[in-house]
Amino acid sequence: MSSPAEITALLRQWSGGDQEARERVMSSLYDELRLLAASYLRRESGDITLQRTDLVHELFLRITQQSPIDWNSRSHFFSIAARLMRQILVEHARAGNRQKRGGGAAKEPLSGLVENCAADVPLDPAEVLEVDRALARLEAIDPQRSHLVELRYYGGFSIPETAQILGSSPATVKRDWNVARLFLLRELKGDAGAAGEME
Amino acid sequence: MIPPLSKDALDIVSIILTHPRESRPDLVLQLCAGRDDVKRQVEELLAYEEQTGGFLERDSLPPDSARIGTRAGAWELESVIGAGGMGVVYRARRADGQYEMTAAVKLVSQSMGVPGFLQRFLSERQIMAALSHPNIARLLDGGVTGDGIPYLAMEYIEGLPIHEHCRANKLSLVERAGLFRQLCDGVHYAHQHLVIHRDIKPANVLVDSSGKPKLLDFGVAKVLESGGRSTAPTALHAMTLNYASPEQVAGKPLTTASDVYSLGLLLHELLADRRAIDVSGLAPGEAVRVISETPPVISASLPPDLQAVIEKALAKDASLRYSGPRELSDDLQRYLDGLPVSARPPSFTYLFSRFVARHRIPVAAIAAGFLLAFSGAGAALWQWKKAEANRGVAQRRFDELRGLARSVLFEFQNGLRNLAGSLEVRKTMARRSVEYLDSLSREVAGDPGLAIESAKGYHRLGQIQGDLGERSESEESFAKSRLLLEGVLSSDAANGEARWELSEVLTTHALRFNTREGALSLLTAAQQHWTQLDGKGTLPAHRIKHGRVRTQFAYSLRQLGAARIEEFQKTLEQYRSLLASAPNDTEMIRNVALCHKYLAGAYGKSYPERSEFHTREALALDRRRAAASPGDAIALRDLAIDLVQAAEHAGRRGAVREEEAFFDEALSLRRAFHEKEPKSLDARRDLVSVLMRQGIFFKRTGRMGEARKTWLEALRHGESIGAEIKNKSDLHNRAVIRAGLASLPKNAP
Repeated sequence: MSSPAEITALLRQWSGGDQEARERVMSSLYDELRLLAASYLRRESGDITLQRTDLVHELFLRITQQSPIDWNSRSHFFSIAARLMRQILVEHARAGNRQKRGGGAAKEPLSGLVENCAADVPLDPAEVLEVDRALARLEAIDPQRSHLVELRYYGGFSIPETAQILGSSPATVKRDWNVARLFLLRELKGDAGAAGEME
Repeated sequence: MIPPLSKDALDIVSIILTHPRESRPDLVLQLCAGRDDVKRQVEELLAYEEQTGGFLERDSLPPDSARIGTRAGAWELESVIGAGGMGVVYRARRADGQYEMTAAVKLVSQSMGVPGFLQRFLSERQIMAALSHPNIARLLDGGVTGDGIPYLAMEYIEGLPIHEHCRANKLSLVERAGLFRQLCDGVHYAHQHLVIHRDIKPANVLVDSSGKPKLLDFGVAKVLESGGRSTAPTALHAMTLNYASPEQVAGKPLTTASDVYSLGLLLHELLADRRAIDVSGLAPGEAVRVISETPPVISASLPPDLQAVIEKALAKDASLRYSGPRELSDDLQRYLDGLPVSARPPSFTYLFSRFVARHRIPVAAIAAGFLLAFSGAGAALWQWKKAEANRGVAQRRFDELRGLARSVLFEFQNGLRNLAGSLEVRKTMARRSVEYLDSLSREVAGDPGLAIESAKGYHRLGQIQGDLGERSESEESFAKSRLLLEGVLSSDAANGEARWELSEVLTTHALRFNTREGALSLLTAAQQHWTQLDGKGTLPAHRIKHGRVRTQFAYSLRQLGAARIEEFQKTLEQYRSLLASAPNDTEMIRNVALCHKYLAGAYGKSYPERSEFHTREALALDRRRAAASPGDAIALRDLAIDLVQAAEHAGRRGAVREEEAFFDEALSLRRAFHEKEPKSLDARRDLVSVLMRQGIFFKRTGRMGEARKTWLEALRHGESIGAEIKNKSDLHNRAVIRAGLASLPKNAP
């Protein structure tokens, strides 16, 4: 894990167009976010509700407490964090599925993350994986709306926050969010229908 | 796998969603004309609209209204009145039957229930509990609800946000300013308690039924850390970009100056009914650029003085703003009283001297400001040469820049002199202004005035380089100065100004670097120029005489041993005769006193009586000078130095009472300085030095308790000088004080 100062420096470089910095900041933050999530789960005793947003904000606070971050980098940071939350949730949904099928995967520090998230919102591993797949299809034709979904759904950001991150207005974000939801709903229901699982 | 959709379909749906249902079918036909596949996709997507509901939604959870009717400590929640960055606010009623009361109860919303937020919430509780001011919403109570959610009960204020209140009641400008000033009082009070608000905006200021503005929500406030700065980050959602300061969007630490900025925005909104900086609807990157770069759009309908006040509060550079809400408020009052406001005129000289005096800002910033000031120089020169037709304007601009270079060289230099760490900047400034004057004098050849100014510039530059220990550069600058002056004299031997300046440079050069012999030869040359000036009538005789004596003074300093005393006595006599011709010339009084002090030092311990005699003479002169020009900081400083010297002489003679009286007087002068200029490093150093000596006096006379108290105070002031700007004498004094403290008997009272 790089130090917060290194991360902010990398974020700045990335803001300046350095793609390699992006890769490095992604991997650094990924490790950090996993550790953070794991430590939350260890001290979780059920009375504090864990939400994805809090993890992302907590990560942000950790980084900025030691090294201030400018606005551009801040937006970049939240975009990355949302993307990472998506990866982490998907991985654990997969791991959860393997375990359910008796795969006996090695004990993961994050096991239970998805279940804990489910405490604040109906979020089960199956949904995580389905949304992920549907989102990949949206990404193929409309990367901007897909990014928006990442921020809203995985990052847990509100409409105004998402608007700030994307440099857009709340009204536009709300509209695009609704369009994206229609798309995803159609993918999910349609898929399920096609697979014959709908009643 | 279902058939894939096209991006076009999504974009069309996006447009259609903004229209009422009944008009949609027509719109679909219109937008998808001739593209049946897209039309089919659009219709298919729209068909899902009924089913979206809360699909993937997270915002609606948990409903805040679910808590209505429940209790938070003694409070029963009645209705939701708002939601902020930290939590949801309810109107609540005291429900324990003790008494009737309504409060605003703020609960940390569940989504914030992570440890980081809890900590901040608790710190908010502590901060607010310590604040009690009529213009700040009071904290009544705080605790944790039955289900473990922390809450705060605050004074419930029935009223409108300040801007709406002003609008609704059609308040006059004077009334609005009055409300605003009360608000400033509250913020000032909070600052004194080391709390910055960070989120001052109209919505956070309610005007209660008695017409008193109350500042709400120290939600993101944080106790200022020592050093006057806070480094807590501001989370994304806790920030209102429309009222954010440049330093806030840059992610820099916030200070009380950030609140001054927000107050400036609020003032403008109150007086002009619109924001001076409006970033609504802008993309964050764009908003940040506007906030950090674009000048505020201050309403031209406001009186110019008020515009100046707001502009000053909204300076991008925090160090150029009012130093606090009180200063902003006072300036506003000056406007209301018909007095000139301090914010005007915002001329370069004014701003510069002001900011140098008030802020110990990073030297790089000074340099940047300075270099900026010269950016127009080249253009001015060109104009001067080309614009024959418009000579008047060009000449004026040219003179302006020349004047600027001069004031940078001399006035600002003096302003900066006492600023810690400013030497490098002063050097850059001097060099740039000299280069500038130099190029001017080359372009506008045959202007002896410019050449002399450049020479003076090099003279000054050489002194600064000398202070920095750059000996050869310094000598070079003195040489350049001489060269320029000799050039002027070669074509005009009667130029008194040039000759006078030449003698001065020679004298300074002699004082600075040469061996004693080298110095004496320079001084001899200087004396020769003085002789040539005598009786020529080109300069006032008094000035020439003064210069001569200065050279003599330098000569005295260069002498060693017994000869030194003799030389100083000679100088003293000369100064005295100068003084006789101008008895009220405080500068002359000072010079005579200085001679006395040098003599006192030269006699030193070998001839203590003579030394004391000269100390007393100097003291009497400096007293006279201080009385003649009350408030002259240098005079008072000199006086304090004399008093300490006099105290030590009294101590040597065992005149304890006299000694104590001298120390007391010196100390009261030093204290007065320190209080007047709390930011001045010199004032603090002087105070430490007197306290240190007084402590020694106390210890010597057996007053151990007083010695301890005095030294502890000295140490406190000494420690407050930042580690990075401590110099050798600071460290020395600290060591002496610590050693002194350690030497005191353990059980001293």
